[in-house]
Amino acid sequence: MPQVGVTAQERKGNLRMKFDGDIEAKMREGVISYGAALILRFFAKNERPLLYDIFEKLKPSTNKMREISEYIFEISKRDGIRPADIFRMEEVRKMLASEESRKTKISRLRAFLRGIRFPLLSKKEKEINEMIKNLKLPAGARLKLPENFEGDKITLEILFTGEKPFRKSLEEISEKIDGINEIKKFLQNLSH
Amino acid sequence: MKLKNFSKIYLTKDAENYPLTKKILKKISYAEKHYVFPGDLHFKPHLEPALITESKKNLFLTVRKENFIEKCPGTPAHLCCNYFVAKNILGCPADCSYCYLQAYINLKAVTIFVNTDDFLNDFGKKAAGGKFRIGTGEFSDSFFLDDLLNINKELIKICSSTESFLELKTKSAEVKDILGLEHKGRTVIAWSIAPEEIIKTEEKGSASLGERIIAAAKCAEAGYPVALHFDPLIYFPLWQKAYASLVENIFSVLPPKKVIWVSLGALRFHPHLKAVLYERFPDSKILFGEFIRGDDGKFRYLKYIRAEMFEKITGILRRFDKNMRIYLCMESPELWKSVFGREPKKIKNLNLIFG
Repeated sequence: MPQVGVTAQERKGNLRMKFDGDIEAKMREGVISYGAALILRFFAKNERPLLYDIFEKLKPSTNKMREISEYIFEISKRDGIRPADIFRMEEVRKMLASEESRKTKISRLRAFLRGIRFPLLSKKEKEINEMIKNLKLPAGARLKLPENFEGDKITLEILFTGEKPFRKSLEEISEKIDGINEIKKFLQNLSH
Repeated sequence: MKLKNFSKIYLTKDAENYPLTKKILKKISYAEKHYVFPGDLHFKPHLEPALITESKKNLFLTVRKENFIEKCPGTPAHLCCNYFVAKNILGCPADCSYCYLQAYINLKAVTIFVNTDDFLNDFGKKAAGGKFRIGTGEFSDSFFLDDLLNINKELIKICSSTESFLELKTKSAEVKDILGLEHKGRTVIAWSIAPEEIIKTEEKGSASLGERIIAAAKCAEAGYPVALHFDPLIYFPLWQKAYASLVENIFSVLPPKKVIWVSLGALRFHPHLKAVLYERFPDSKILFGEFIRGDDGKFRYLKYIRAEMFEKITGILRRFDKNMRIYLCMESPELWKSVFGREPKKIKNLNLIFG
């Protein structure tokens, strides 16, 4: 997913960017990562505490924190809303108030924000995942699709322990060729 | 381009005695002058966006030893159009929000290589060596600084006796100096074109759409082949209407038959451009489309969006000339097949470009 690029050398070394006092302080406290700071600097000062609060509670990893910050920033700018409006959405409120684990909350929040940020990509992924699920491939077999739908090549992966299970998998997969062709057609069809 | 915008001139010691240096120093005599070593002006664009803004007001005069003409590197896994780029200027005084040079050039000034004779010599050799397309508009705008350099006249003259095409690509309207020249159809004057609402919000310091169209019509009248680059195409609400009206506006003034080629390129950018754009152009919304990271590391619109834009705009263009020579810039074979039914090498009228 889109990220504001920064090299490892820049993160470590003297090339590190200097931020507003509140961001620097939260970095020192270990509440936010450098990657998140690179995005948070674009938020208005009075919008940042909300994010600090969420990150303090959920403690996402460095990359996830940056990803969540970026989704929130881009959604709010694109749709002309405030970050607080996103956290007022019913789905988000329920998610954060639930009894689920911290990890599950992070994962669901990311998926929800990604769906809003990338509606067409998410729709296409949902459709194709449904098609793959309906194929009911044998255990140990999986289809790998081109990343972000760039391209139309499909990779088939089969895990097997010997000749017999390998042949069995191949036979079962051969019976699903129509379904695989449907997936291929889906990838080649560029209308939306 | 207003020369008064330049407030500082940096130069290397080896550049000071060249006629072009003397001419520039005389013409912009009010600017502060600083001697520097080439490495002194480097910075990390994505960490210091303010220096990009600053760089638009500075000139750097220096000497390039070799390789003024290089093949456009294209981008991995995408089809390349065999273009050669001429590098006599690096950087542009205009300030387009999406400009890739912001994440690419890391110098605190617009660089001019003042050893003009070496550049012309390199250009002449390349142009005479085959049937190439060579352009000066990849690392700068071909016209914005020509008041200072006065080099277009020379390039047009050189190319007129070769089988190559010189492409002068611009967002300006300052073409009066080249209208009366003997070009023998070997120089193509190309405009980067966008709907007026995009020009107003994203292309600071460039000519308006109307000015560009009138300039294109004047060049066509002077016998120059004209090229149009719909690049970057930007997906925004009502984009279809905006591009349809843009094409209509162009061809109400410019005869479609005078257009030698049209390129379509959807907005794509290096990851570092995001931080630069967010900081320098906080009101811009162009990066909030659905961009995915491609094999080449650049962000580009999801292929469904690219295909839709290419197909629709090709359809609009073909209404005015069904044989219009249209190509995609830095696109995958899959997209070519989707839009045109085949790859460029199999499209007859694209031989001029891909042949």
